[in-house]
Formats: sequence, structure tokens, C-alpha cells
Amino acid sequence: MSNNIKHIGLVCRTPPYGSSRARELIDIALAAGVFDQKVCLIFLGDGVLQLQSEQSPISIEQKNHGKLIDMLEIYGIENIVVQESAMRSRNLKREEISSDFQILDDTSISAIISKQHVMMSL
Amino acid sequence: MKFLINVCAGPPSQAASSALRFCRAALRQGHSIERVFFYSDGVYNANDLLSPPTDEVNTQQQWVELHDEHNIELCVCIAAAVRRGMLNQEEANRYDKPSANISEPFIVSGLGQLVEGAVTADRTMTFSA
Repeated sequence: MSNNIKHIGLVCRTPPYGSSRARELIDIALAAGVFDQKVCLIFLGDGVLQLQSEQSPISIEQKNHGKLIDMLEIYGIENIVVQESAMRSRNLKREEISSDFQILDDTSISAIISKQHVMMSL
Repeated sequence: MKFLINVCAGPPSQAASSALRFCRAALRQGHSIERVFFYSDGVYNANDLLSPPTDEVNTQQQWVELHDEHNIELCVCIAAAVRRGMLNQEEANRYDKPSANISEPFIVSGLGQLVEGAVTADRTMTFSA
């Protein structure tokens, strides 16, 4: 690995279950965290549902995605941005997600995206 | 410009085909490809059992040709691959499976290769369905 440190923005747009995309994007974030990159996770659209603190996917035989989200902090990923309008249209309340996440409007999110060196989504 | 190509869709999707065509176009214009990383459903591009009808393209073969012509690294994410039953011989032995379906020039490695490539390259392009 070169000594380069880059700002890597990862856009999470998929719901926590239904496909492996949500988990696979978080896995990129964790790997980038291990390599000491500056990661910013941006949750848009259905992606905001990944952050719901009470998830119980036992009945669909899936692992709890919320536990993976909880791992982010351990990997040094603290820059987590959530789309306010997506939360509102899905009736997701502020108290249903961790208070560590920044809830922002689209203009602010756009400004954050423009500061990243690398953007990835799945 | 140096590109990292992140392929997240498998054949016969348009996204996989677009990734290949993008690589060829970039090389033709004098750019370089740092690495092609196959992630998520993109790992299916490495399936050497693909057997499309003769009048359709074989995506796996096309990647091999790209490698042979330009010596481009083709790297498959091990976690995404194994989860989907895509194994090279070493992994087939490890998991005690009867056969393997990933072979050289595809190499099997971790997500660190995606991150390392994204950091080193000038641009990261993701092709997803």
C-alpha cells in the first residue's frame, strides 16, 4: 500500500436485506478503514433503512445488518452522513438511528461528495 | 490516466460488457488500467465454466484476452467469490469441494486490493447492474 491517504466516499443506496449489496458496500468501508483511508459513508434513498437500530431479521434467516453498522466505529469510520429527505419519506425518526450520524440536506451531501477523491457505490 | 475498474455485475449483464468495452477504449486512447477488480456479482465474470451459445460472447474469455494482450491484473474478491460458489483450486481444496471454476490468469485476493487500487489509481470506475 502506498502512503497515500485518500478521501473515499461510499454511497449506500440499498436496503439492508433483499440483496448482498448493503453488506458488500459496508465491507469495502471496513477494508478501507483497515488501510487507514478517510472513509465517508453516505446513506441515500432506501439505504437509510440500514441504519435503523432495531432490526430483527431472524425470521428471514439473515444476519443482523445493524451489527455490521455498529462495527464501523471500531474500524475508525466516524464520518457517516444520512439523507434527511430519505429519512422523512420513509418515516424514519432521528431517535431510531444512532446520534453519531449526521443528518443532512441534499445540498450539504452534494458538497461532501465533491470533496471526496474516490466515490464508489454498488 | 490510470484507472481502477471495479466490476460488480456478472455476465450476461450489459454492465459487465460495458466494463470490458471501457477498458479497451481507455487502453486504445493511451490510458492504463491499474487493475480490474471483480466484486459482488462481478465475481461471475471469472467463471471458466461459462458456456454461452456460439453466436454470443464469452465474457470470461474476453477478460482473459484483455489480460493476454495488455497484461492487466484480473483480481477476484475472495469473500464475494466463495460465498457465490466461485472457487479456484486452492479454495476448492480448502472447502473440500469437488471442482473449481476460477483459473489463471484470474487471481483470488481480498478487498484490500480494491482499496489499494483506488488509492493508487487516478480514477475508480464501478460497473454495476
